[in-house]
Amino acid sequence: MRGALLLAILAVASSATVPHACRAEEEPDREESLPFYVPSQAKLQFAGNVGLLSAGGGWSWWHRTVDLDLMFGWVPPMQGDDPIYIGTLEATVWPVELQLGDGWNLRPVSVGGTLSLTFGDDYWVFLPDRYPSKYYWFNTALRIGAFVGGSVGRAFPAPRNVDFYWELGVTDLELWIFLENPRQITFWDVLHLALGVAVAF
Amino acid sequence: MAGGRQAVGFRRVVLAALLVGVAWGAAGCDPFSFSPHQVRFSESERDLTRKNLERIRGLPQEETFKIAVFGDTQGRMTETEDGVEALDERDDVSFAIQVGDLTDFGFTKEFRWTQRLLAEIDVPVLTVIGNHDHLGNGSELYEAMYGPLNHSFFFGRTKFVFLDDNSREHGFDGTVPDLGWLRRELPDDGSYDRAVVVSHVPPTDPDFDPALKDGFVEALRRGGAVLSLHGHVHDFSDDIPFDDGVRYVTADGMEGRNFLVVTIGPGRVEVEQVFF
Repeated sequence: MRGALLLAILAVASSATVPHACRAEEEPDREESLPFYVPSQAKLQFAGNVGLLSAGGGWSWWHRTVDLDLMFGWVPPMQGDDPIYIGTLEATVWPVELQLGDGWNLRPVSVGGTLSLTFGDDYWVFLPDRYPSKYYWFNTALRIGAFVGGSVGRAFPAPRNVDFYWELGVTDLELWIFLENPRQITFWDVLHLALGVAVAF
Repeated sequence: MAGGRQAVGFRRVVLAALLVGVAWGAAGCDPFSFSPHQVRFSESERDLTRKNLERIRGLPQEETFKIAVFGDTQGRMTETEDGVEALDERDDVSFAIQVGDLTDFGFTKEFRWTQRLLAEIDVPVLTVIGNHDHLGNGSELYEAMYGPLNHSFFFGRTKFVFLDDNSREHGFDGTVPDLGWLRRELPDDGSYDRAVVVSHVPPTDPDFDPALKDGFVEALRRGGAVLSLHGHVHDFSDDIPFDDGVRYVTADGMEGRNFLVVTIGPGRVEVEQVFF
């Protein structure tokens, strides 16, 4: 858990501290100009079942068709006592990019998946010792999500983009309950929306 | 013109976003979720134990009365819905009790969805926390939606005591069930004629702290309990396992398509299994 936290913080920190000198130079294809491990984008997201706010960053390949991001999410205490912290690994595929002119672009379709880990003693991936084996068939900490979405953005100039994105997602076990109870639960009940901004540098 | 094309693109995007928003709003849902475990309920979903107790206080409190007992709902929504419908056709029950495991995974949305079904019950409904309801952020969610995990109230001359006895979820640390609290709630000091205890796990189950079992049974016997109501085992049983005159009854899970109607009165406890 501590490792994932560290990675998330590193991702945020490193995306925030990409040397400015790199930007000053001509870089028609950023993918070739920086070592592979330096993140190429920073993200800030609202909702999406991975935090009220989540921040992080990651990498983009093949001219923005595949993204991999590491996000750290936070839910403040609302009606309960404790905040919730969530680390998320997110992969997104952007098959289409339309140029709208004047540097604006629309990516009407995205498809992606998330692996999110809720931190803290109340959440476990492996059944704790207090239970006999197979007492619960699921885990409470690690969730798999899937989403579709899109983005609208602008290059300042390419490849430095600012993109506003949205994701309509579902989370594994919430979807499971819907599939078991389609008469009592609507798809709208399990669907959740995320809104965010991604800055590529 | 580039600007024109850009405007059309934007308009489409904004329109699509608006359509999604309107459809969502029409479905009566909040599109934003921050975590499957977020403690975030609407006002009508909060503080339900207190609200239902207020309704119960307003009822005619006859010496002999009937209650309905629903077993573990735990994601069995069709059966729960049918059970609610069957219960609503009756008019002889004062209030209903669900004996825990409202949820399977302890998620916010599960609490909401189960409560949406229980809210259709015409009479007041009370719940007790089950082991599944403890998972993740479950106890905080339970407290936000229903209230304290341990509580008691009087119905006429009968005292009802509801408590958390999901010992395994607390690692058998000796604190659950809270026997000190239970003994104080069952003083048998003449303030009530009989007591009914409601908790999720029956004391005969391995998930009940074995170190606290004798103390629990003793507290009930000394405290004038006539009935101890449970769920958890997904099977109906009605016994006096400790030869002390105290009836221990477990309700079947809702998948069994039945609930209990219990008649309580002076010198009288009758348990009927009602199939639907």
